[in-house]
Amino acid sequence: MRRFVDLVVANTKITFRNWQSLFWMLAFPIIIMTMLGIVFGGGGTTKVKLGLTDYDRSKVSESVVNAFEKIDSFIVYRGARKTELNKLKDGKLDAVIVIEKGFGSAVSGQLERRQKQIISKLLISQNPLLKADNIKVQKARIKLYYDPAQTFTSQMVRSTIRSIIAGMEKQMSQTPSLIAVTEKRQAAAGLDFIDFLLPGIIGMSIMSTGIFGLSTVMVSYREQGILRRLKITPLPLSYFIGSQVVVSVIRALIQTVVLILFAKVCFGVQIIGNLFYLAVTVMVGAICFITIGFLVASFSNRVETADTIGNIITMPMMFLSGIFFPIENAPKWIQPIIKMLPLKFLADALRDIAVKGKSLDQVAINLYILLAITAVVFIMVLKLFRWEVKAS
Amino acid sequence: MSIIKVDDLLKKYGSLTAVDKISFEVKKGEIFGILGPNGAGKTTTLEMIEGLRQPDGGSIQIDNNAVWPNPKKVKRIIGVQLQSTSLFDYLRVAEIIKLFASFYSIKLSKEKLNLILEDVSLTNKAKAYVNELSGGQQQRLSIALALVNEPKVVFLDEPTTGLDPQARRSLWDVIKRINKEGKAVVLTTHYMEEAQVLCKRIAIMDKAKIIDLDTPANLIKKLEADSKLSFSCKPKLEEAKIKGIKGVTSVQSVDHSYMVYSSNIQKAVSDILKLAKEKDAVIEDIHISGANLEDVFLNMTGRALRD
Repeated sequence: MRRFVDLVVANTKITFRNWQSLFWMLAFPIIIMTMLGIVFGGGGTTKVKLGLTDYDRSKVSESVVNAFEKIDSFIVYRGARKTELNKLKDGKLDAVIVIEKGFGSAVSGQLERRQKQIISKLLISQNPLLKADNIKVQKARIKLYYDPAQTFTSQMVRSTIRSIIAGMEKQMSQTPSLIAVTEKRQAAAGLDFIDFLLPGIIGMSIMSTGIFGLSTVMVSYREQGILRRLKITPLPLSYFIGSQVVVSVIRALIQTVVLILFAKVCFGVQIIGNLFYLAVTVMVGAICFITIGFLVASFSNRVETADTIGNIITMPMMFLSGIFFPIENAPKWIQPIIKMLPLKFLADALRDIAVKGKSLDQVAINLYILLAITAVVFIMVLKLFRWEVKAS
Repeated sequence: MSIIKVDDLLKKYGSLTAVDKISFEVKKGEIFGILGPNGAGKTTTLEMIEGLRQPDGGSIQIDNNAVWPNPKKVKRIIGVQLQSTSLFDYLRVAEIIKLFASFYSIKLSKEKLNLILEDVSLTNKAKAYVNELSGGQQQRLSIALALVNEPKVVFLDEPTTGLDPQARRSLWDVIKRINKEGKAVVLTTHYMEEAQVLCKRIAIMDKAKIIDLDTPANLIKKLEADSKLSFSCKPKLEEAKIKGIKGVTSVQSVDHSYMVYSSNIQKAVSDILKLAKEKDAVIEDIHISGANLEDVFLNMTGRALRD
């Protein structure tokens, strides 16, 4: 045990005295987060310009409009359907919402029938330039027009509409004050980009330090003969590997803490989830990517090879796992691939816990999938890992 | 009396025989050298003794423990410096020595650490990072790591290769000091001078076999030619005519340079000068010397050590 602790201490020193590894571990994710945060989510500079047409003119529809007007990240312009749609085509607006006649009575009618569930259904129009989603609330209709290229904007508007309506429904059944309702819900409604981004960035950092940190270190130790040198001592090599894993997990936890603190101080992100759940998820993810790192090391004779293989694995995952932007709207053919990426399971679980406040039970399926991937990769590593450079 | 016993040791890589049934013993407290050119099988031999490479035949015993099939037992009584190992960057000299001691479940006391540092002349580098050390200092650190477990025998694989002459000499002092503490040392080298200065006995290895094993002095004595005459000559002289001179035992020539071994050096010189005069050839760089280990090797294998 003492030997193991000594090794962990030594490995920790090696990690934290290496400025280059510290850069990739901490500075790089912070830079990415800051850049994306400023470009896409930054405080007020990139507000969503929303056109609003209210054909219903009821108390309910008015409160929906009010709700949007009160949310910081929206600038609401009101006008007729045609003028607003033309502005959207010219790129002067990001999205247009049309509240159809009968919306208010439908919502109230629904409440009277004490129906708590809101069914929403998406109908996609044939217009190639613009997409139109029908969000059905019983018979009540809100139509959302948006530029299909603006994936994030549409996501944001849609989730906002849903939360406003959900909030109204809840509140209306208790108190008649509609305006109070919408105000209360607006924080959760305007799912800030940075809230969305932070868990993804944490996942990305765990992935790259797991895969690159581990594989390049193991390959260079093998290449330099350090692993052979250890073989001469009575130290079981499993101790050495174990200490590497422990240090990598510690590293992932430190990354998580630093990134959360940074996002909190600089972007005002609120972590509403349980920190213990978050730590468990981080550890499961870290172990999964460390094992993948060993697999990369098994295939690489030189550090350069490990770097290349690492990039081949991490690059597609970074862009397809929905860490920088939502990927629900990605083409159908690519969805099965997305559903196999470990980073997606990790990032989703982190997001569910950190931002949406879910419990471990609710993300258990993601954790089990990560552990299953770990087990499969571990068996491959046992078969493929080499302690010595090939050839004598 | 012997600390290491090697019998009929065999190692094959496919159709290539790297070590061909060699046998030798290393006595307690001696410095034993394995001398030979690159590819002779020195490193493979050493690595089989250290428990790193499994032999295809024969047996090895260290301090009456069989190394194979389970080398775990001997790990605690040997210290090893591998050929060109780098060590963990970002650790300090003292830290890395303590770390390696912990691999043997040894907690080094301050005094013991200082003794080891003194042994390898790194006392003033205790706080330096590994990557700040010179080549010679790294090599000495590598030897220090071989000493942490107080081994009975220390293996050094080409410890001075790639070092400048000054660093080489200071490493020789380190090796002698370790030996004086009673530890046996087995070292490989392709430097004749090194083997001659350090080793009590030397095994000369070439092409997977030990071609001779003796003390440096005896090896030289065995060489019949007691003197060497080297010179260069333009145009070339006929080798057969030189060989015909009385007392000449061997002649080697590369381009215009000649090396002649003779028991009668005076006759050899005068006859060669005569031959040159007949041919109107110019002789330069005449040099006469007593035989050394390099000559022993050349004589036995017909090739220079570093080719």
